[in-house]
Amino acid sequence: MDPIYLQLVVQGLAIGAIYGLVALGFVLIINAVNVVNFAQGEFLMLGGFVGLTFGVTLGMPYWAVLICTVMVFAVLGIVFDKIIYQPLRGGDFATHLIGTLAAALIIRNVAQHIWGPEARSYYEPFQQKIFEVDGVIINPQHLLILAMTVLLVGTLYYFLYRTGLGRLMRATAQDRDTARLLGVKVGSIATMAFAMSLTIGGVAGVVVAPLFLVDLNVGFMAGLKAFIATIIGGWGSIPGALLGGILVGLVEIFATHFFTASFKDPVAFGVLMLFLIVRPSGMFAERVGDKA
Amino acid sequence: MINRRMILALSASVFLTNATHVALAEDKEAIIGVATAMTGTGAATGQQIAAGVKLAVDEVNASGGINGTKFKLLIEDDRTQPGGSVNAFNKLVSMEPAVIVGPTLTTFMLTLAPNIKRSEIPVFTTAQGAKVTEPETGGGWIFRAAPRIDTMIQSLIDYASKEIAPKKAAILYANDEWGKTGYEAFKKAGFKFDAVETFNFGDKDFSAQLLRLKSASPDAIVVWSSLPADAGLITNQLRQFLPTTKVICSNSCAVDEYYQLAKAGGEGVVTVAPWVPGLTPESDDWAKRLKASNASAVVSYTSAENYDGAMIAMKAIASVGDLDHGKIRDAILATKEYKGIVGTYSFDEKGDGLHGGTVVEWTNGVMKPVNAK
Repeated sequence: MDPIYLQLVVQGLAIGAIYGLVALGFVLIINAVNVVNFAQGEFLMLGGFVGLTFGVTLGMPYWAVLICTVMVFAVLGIVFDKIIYQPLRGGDFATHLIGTLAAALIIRNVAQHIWGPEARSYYEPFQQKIFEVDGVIINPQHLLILAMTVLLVGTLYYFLYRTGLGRLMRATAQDRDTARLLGVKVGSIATMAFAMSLTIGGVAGVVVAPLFLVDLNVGFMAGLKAFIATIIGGWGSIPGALLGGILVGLVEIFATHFFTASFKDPVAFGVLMLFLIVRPSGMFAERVGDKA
Repeated sequence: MINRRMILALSASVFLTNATHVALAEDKEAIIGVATAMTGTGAATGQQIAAGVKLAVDEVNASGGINGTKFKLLIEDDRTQPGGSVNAFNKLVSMEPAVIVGPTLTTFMLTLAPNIKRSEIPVFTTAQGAKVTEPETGGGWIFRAAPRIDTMIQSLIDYASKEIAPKKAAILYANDEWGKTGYEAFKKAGFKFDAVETFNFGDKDFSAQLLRLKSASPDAIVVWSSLPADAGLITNQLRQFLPTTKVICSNSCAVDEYYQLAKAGGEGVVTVAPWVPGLTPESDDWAKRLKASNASAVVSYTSAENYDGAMIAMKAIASVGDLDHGKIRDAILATKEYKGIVGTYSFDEKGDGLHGGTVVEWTNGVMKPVNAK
């Protein structure tokens, strides 16, 4: 293979893994409460700023930054559940769409108020070192993101399909009222799901910051692409989120290579349309009977 | 013989004449409106505009005004959306400002142009696209407190052609009016590109474009972006694939924010700066005053140019003594050899106040002026 194509595959995998990482946040909420959280992309942005504060302002080492970010976002997840999801929990799709979009705007503006509008750089932990294998340039940060995404996919898959709590979560998403009648604490399940989902988003923000900068504008487009990945991968499918993300990443990079950058987003959305027509349930569709 | 009717008629005509332009009573403040991005993707630059204008207004008011005229600052957020800039502008117009300071994005200024023409209010901008001050765009109501892009690009092209003289060159430019202006200017000047790539607003990964540019083996790459964040990301990623290629960049690279974002990628980058901070004691002093007034304000050519623009506008308003926009426009146009922070302003018939930039190279984190030999 021409090294340039191999390089494009490497870059596409890396960008795809980022979309997959954000898509995991979507998928977790879909699995737990069956709504789409359109503020998910903004947690990527917020994670970058929180990581920057711990790492640069407070001078913490990278591992401590990650631990502190997990703690902050777990708390934020509980807060998000209480003030955004719970008041709207009986609402339909449109209610949650508007509610979470409003939350996205609030998060963005609060972040601008706290950290200012300028983009910042945060290059821990590899200090921008790159290495070359057979003419293909590898960025260790890409490998970290890919490894983290694969690890999270495995962990979440195990949690949702092999643990009792995971099954309760999926049962709640499938039929909230029946789950409640059977004694499931549906409120706590939702709170836990938001805490986990925001934590994934926040940590994603920290690991993506060296590639995308810490920037107020990072969340919207990444969130949108991750949403496409969620649909392509299969609504609520954990492995689908990763593979959908990687497909979007590869499509984008090859569209830019073979056409121009102007075609990147139209081609990505074109692939989504194609999936919606040919295979509306996505790559890893689940039958309803398999859900719980 | 003057009878009562004649006195009434005379009084009425005087009243009507005055009604067309409100005289500045001693206790009345002239309004300086700012329509720019305080939120959204352009907020970083928009807040620099607001900070520059605010410092100018505060300093003038603190010193008792100009000829007794004091000024009031009104800021409207356009949320970095073209529709938002029209709303912000219209809202300011309804408050009867003496002068409006507009957005710095060329695309936004072109969107606003019909409203500016209709409102007949002098508008200052630092948008650098050549079209902005063409008479058919704003009808002569737009004034630029920044060098036109073509004059700036010319300095950069002169330097690049003589000193860098690439055998093979490539360009990566933003897929918008600003990017196209840069690309066309280089082409017009006879710069031959062996590879041409574009990027979209909001892109974060440029590897596909950079790999295509790399396959042309260029000695120099021109990066033409509007935002320092984009330029920072691009040059940072560029260094992974093309570690030694010379980078020539739009003036989005001529701010400290850019270097901080690009890290090692910024070193050696050649750009053109409307203003190089710290070259004169006046600019040093100004930077200190800006920071003292607002610790989070960014010292940049954008904040400095808008400070200068606001100062010129306020002097023009004070010299006219009322809010007749036509007279204010003439007074701004008559401004010659005004020594501002960025440089010396002399307005030409189109409304352009500054006429050139300084070619600089980032050396150890500092912009060093370089000249074509």
